[in-house]
Amino acid sequence: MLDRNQTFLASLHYRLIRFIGVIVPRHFRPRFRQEWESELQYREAMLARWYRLNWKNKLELLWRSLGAFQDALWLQRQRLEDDMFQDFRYSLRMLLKNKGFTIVAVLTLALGIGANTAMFSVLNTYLFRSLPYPNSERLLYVWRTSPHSQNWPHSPGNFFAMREKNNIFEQMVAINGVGPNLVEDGVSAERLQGLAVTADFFPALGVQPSMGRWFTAEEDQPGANQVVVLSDRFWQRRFGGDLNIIGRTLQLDGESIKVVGVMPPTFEHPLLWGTVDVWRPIAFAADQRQNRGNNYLRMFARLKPGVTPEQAQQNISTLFAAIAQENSSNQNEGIRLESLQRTMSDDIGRKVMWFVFGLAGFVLLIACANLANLQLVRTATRSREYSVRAALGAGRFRLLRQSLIESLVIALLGGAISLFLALGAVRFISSRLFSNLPGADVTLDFKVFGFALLASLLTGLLFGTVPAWLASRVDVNQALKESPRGSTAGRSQHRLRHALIVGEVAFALVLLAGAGLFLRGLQRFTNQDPGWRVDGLLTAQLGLQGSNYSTPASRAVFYRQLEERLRALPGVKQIAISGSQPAWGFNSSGSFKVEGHPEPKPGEWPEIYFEPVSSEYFATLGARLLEGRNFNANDLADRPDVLIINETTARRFWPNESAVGKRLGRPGDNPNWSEIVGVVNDIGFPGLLGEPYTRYQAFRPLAQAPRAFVNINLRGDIAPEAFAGMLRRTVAELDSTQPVYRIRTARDQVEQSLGSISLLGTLLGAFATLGLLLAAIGIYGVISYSVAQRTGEIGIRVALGAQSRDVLWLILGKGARLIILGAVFGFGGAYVISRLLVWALPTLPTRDPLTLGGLTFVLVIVAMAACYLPARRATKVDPMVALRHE
Amino acid sequence: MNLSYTTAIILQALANGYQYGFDIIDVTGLPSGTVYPALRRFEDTDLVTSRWESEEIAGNEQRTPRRYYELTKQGHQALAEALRRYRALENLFAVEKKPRPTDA
Repeated sequence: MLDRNQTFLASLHYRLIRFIGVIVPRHFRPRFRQEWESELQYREAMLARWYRLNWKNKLELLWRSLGAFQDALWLQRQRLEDDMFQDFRYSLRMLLKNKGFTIVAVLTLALGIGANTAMFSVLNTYLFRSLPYPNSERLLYVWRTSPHSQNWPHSPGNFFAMREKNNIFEQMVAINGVGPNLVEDGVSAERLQGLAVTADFFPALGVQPSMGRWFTAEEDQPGANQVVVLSDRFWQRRFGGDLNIIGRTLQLDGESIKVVGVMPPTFEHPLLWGTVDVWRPIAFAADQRQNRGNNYLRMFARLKPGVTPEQAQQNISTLFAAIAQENSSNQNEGIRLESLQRTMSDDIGRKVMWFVFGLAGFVLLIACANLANLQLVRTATRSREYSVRAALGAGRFRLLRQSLIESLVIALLGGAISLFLALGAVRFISSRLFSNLPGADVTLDFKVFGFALLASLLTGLLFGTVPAWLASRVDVNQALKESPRGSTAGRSQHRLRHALIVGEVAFALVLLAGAGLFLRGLQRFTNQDPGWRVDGLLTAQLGLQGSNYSTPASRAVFYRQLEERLRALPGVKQIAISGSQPAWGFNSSGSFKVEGHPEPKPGEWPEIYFEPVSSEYFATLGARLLEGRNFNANDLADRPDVLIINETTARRFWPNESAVGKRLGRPGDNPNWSEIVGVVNDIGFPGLLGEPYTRYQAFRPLAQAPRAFVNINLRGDIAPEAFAGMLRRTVAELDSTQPVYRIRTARDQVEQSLGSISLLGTLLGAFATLGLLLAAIGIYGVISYSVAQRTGEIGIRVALGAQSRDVLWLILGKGARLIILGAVFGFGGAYVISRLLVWALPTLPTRDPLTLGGLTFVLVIVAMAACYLPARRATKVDPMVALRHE
Repeated sequence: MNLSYTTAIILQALANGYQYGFDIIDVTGLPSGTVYPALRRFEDTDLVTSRWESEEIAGNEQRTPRRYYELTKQGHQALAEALRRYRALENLFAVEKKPRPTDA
């Protein structure tokens, strides 16, 4: 007789087997249990009955039964071929069966995901793609900051002080853009784009040359720096990839310079450095090393391993505070470290990119809403299928999973096709964005693929979950009792469908508002009057190089001769030479004080642009002299310094009197007073989307400040194509070694500098159109479906005497209520978007209630049109047919 | 197909007439959690087939029929291949041949 305890123990190993059997796929389970039980029984029979076994044997048997667990786990693999695989095959069959649905769903998603993937690839290029240098996360850009700006360059004195005293950086590198002229016999002079760099530039980036070597620290000394390293692109373009280039001598700016190395193509990074043809040692002279007044150096550094950027920031800030103590011009200034990668984009660019990316998300949301609705309809029409399956024993989880797998398959197909759309979009973006930056491109890499995959999975879950959940909630009894058409959706489905319309309208309005306000703002910005005539102005740049032009007087003579020759050419009406290209802004500025006004406190000195211009400048640009006189032939270097200031400066400092005759000077003990002889209207910069650095402008006679780099401005009856040849010939007549470059119209300059922003605007416009279209299709689908469902009801109404108009209003009224509700929500979102735009781009005139109202109107009209088509169909319902159908 | 030493041992045990899971565990000394998944895999890849013991035999002993495994032609080939790699295998478990259940 076994006692209770023995009975329990006797069955322990069998219980274990039964328990483990639970996780074995169902159709393996009986065999699994029988096999293990029979083996245990056999063993027991051989040994003795359980209660007669000794503990050792009992433990051994238990231990063996535990092996069943591993066996069961191994059998889990069969499960894949079991339910999941069946579901997957079933999903594919269902999708193939409903080809129309599948194609619409996949294409809708492909458009939605494609828009997002394309935009993500732009973000990826600027923000996420790592730099092609080893451990590039340790490369930091070093900026000087002041109350005026966060992005200042450095003086050589400060650079050397920081480099010597810091203990957190492995290397600190100074760079300066240069434009040496390359002159070779038989080939016209070419202005190269180069970087003058300290010798640790290459070691800091950690990339070996593909040929030759880097330059050494010894070569980074004045007199020893006649060496140059070529970029791969330049080497290929100019020297056809000549393998004997190392050791060859080039004539750069009249000096004989030896080529010592060629960098590999991967080293170039145009988004970071711009186009670079050559690198040369910067070779500071001894007096330059001490210079603390001339801030022109860009600087980056490589962190020592183990130092965090935060530690580095703290350390360098402390160090710079000590430097600023010694040097009064650095008071109230600081140092800001930024990852080198981030410097590829500026603040405005980043904000606009995120803005467009965020709005692209709304396209996807609308696509999701459409898909969710399609799935809902399918769920409703398939409710009988679901009930039959549920009645035959399919669990709720199984139905849910089945429906989700279908959604995921659609989403992944959509994602795959979206990659092709994104590829096309990226090619277009690349060609537009980087037309002037060879080598730079937006590409699809693994991050982009990962994004597309993630977006697909998320959308699949998003639009698939709710319908799947509804499908799994099917009431078997109810559904099977209904007519075979079985498409009466429950209240929750109705509500959900209505919510989808409201959502689509709201999303579409946010998207439209974002795109509309941005594009309209951009349009108004370009149409703003800059105070001069952009159209018809031809511009070119010239950089006088070489020992012939080392003195201001020699440059002034050259400019005067050039102006005279150009003016004499047929078709030329006005010609002027200035320091900068006015479409972008003026190149140099400085602090100033006003004679007779109290001296400002340190750090509160106002800044003013100082722009050297020749006497015909204002006439050439089309600016108006408001007061006083223009510059004339007598304003020469040996005469007293004179200035023409802009209206804003005059109004600010002499609000109630004439500024003419007053004097401005430099800070310090030697102000070098200049007399104001005239006032012109403010010169705006139509190509500059950011805030100009200062609103104060002062113009100096070119003869008193003849810079080496100047801009030629010309107006006349000359085709832009003819201008280049004419200009080159005229300059060559004076000196054939001096090249002119960037020859283009001012309008082109403006369009180029706004190019990337307006390209993003174009993308945004395309996204908005797509979103509006998808939303309209979605609304049309929902209303059509509801009309089809209510055919019987409409039939009764018509039979009872309802007129076409009544039926039309029945459907339209319902749609209108939902659309207006959606528009109300959307308007709230649009308001948020408009505030966001004002915050992100304060210079862009985006406050525009009229546009916002107009867009809302357009959206409501389009949405109502989408309702109208099915509503009209409802009026055609024949009561006899409808009722017989029921 | 490259067999690991462990799986080759199980094949060799099968070839030598040990046909039940627990017998293989006993003779090889391998844990049950190794032997069973290996048998399942052999069956999936057609190296072995399985059958149930006749009801009669099991009935006589008042227990449930056991499942037994046999090497297929591919199984024998795989074993021969494994034997070339692990020469010592051949002499394992060769001493006592178990009678086949159908022989009984």
